[in-house]
Amino acid sequence: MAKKAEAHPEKSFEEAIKRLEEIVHSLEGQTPSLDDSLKLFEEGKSLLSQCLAKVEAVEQKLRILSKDNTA
Amino acid sequence: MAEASALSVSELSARIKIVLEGGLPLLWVQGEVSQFTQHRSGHCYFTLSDEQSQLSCVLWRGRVAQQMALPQVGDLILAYGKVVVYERGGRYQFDCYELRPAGVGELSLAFEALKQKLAAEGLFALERKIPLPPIPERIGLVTSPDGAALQDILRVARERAPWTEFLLAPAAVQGSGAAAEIAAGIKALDKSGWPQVIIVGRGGGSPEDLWAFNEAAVVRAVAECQTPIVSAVGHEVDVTLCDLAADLRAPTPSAAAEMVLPDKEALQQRFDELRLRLQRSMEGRITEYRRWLMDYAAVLMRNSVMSVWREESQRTDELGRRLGAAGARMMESWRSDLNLLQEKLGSLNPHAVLARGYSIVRRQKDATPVIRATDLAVDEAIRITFHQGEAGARITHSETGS
Repeated sequence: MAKKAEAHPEKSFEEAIKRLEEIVHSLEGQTPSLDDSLKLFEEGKSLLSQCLAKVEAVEQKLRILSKDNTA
Repeated sequence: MAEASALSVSELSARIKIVLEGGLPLLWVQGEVSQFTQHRSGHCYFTLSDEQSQLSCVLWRGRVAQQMALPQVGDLILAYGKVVVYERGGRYQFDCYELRPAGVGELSLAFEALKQKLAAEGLFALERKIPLPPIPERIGLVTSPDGAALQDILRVARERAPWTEFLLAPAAVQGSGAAAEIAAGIKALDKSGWPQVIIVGRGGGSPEDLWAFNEAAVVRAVAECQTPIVSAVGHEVDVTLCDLAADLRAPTPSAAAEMVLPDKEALQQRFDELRLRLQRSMEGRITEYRRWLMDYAAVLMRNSVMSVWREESQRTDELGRRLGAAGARMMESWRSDLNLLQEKLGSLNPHAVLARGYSIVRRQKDATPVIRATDLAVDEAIRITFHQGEAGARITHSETGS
């Protein structure tokens, strides 16, 4: 079986949504500096595009657990 | 003559053995238990019968241990095994691998009995149930690689969540050995730590077909599974002990996929909302910053004493407007505008200008800044403000400059 880190380099949907909520919350709430705001915004934008690309995935992934691999 | 072609008893017996054992593969036979004895050795001997015939059966000690419950006289049962011929006694016997209650009544009695037993062990307890993750992306499956259940789950996943990855632990879902394979599949997936949710199940079938999902090995594996596990056995009306032990019971395999997997549309909508909020919050931030900038520019305007400053102020103003207009469009380009603006603001600081060698000239009488040399009369008193300190002076002559 592939190592977890290799198979999932990008954030999961759950992690991405959590981070996006944090970003929006801090942009809406306290006043980070303009520079920090822009950094947060950039991060949010790149997370969103990663997630939207993943949502559009077309190839289904199915692997079979081999019997010798059960240990 | 007849003597020459005659077989010995042993020869015939050997042939009978070959014909019978070779001609009859492993099979299920159904009948009523009419005699039953368990020998001191642990082996069980009994007779299966129907209206016309009888069949001697044996269940060896090793297999007795695997049986959920031993049948009693009068029980209608299904026996899985093969015919074995004993040449020495000239007899044949049915060698049973596995026994199951047959008929709905018996099945449901066995079901109830096992259910009581496993419930007493706490395997169905609510506090054992683990909540499912809201958006799982890695799913483990325990089912037949050739069954409808697998295809149903994959089809639903393609519609709802095509990015989902699956790991299948192939297992026979009916017949002898099915329960052991299902239990082993659950354990292997659980141990791998890979799936976020496991779905165990199969498509519809007769109560006998679904029986493996009532066996203690499966129920225990499901109850002990650390990964959230969903049971999807048969149709809506079929309830198995596996269902009761699972963290969630789905009426069918397709329904399991629908319950477990997020909906693509809903997820997209969620991301659209987040995108809108992100955009709005950043616009709000920009507007706020712009307002601050304009306030600062206004202060500078009020304090400005030289036309060069006014000019700079206009540029500040214009930058502010550009910034405002850009706010509705491309956010990325703002970064450079804003950096530029920050530099400009630095140069607009009156002290910074004076530090570069400029001075401010004001009339002595009313302290108004002097913009043109011709505004001054000869001999008029003026005050000069330097970067550090002030000085008084008198005009000796003035000229019209460009």
